[in-house]
Amino acid sequence: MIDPNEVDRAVIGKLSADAELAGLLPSGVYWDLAPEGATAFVLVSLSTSRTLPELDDGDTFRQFVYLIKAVAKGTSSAPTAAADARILALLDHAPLDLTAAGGELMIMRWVDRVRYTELSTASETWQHRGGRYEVTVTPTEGAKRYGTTTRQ
Amino acid sequence: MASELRMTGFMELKESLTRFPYETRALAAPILATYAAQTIDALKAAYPVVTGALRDGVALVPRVGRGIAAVVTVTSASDHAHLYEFGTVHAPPHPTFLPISGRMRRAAVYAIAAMVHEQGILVTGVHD
Repeated sequence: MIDPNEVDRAVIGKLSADAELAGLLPSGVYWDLAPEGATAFVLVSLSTSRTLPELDDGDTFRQFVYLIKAVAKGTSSAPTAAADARILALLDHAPLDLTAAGGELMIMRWVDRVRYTELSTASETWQHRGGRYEVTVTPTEGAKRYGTTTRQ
Repeated sequence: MASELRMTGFMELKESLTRFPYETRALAAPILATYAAQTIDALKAAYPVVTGALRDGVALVPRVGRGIAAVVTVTSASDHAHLYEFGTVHAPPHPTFLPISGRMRRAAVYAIAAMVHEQGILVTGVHD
């Protein structure tokens, strides 16, 4: 059985382990929200997920779509642009160790782009830049099977 | 001994194949309209109502597909729809538009595939 929490951890772990990304966004990699005081960080959150039946014998795989953003305080978009490129290089069609999740990676790829500027106060600007990434996982051999019903 | 094989109906087949995409588009349009309406209802039900701007920003965009395309566009056009969907530095993302519109789009594609199948056309490899 695939443990989705471990899939989350694997994605965050891969990003957290990269020294180049840490240099670009030194506040760290977080799920959903960064701690107070952080000014340059990566946010990972779940956008959508579903379980799909395979065609042959009813085995299933799970598809997670993560929103992964570089977020930085300021009016310059350069830090988030560089971090966005680094995240793409780390994740798009790259390997991911999902042993702890009880699964094997079928594909990890960039889906679409996200970019916007946030004015959190009249004098405070934040840059958000990143994308959504699909992570599709199949259970490892002998793992418990899901049913064949598509679940959203 | 001479033998002869005569095959007929090619002109009818050609005419039928020529008409097929246009007839299919006409049949697909109401299916898309149904799913677009369901998408709008689902989005309006899912969005929180504080000022009502998020809910009121959900709308059907009038568009006409080019050529044989059947197109329906649903938009979430309030000023802060993207902040709600993707989050801010103080608020986490609330994935709403993308999951709902994606689910409805998949359902519409499968419904159209079933409609085409009912016309006697084998449909394989449906991508959502």
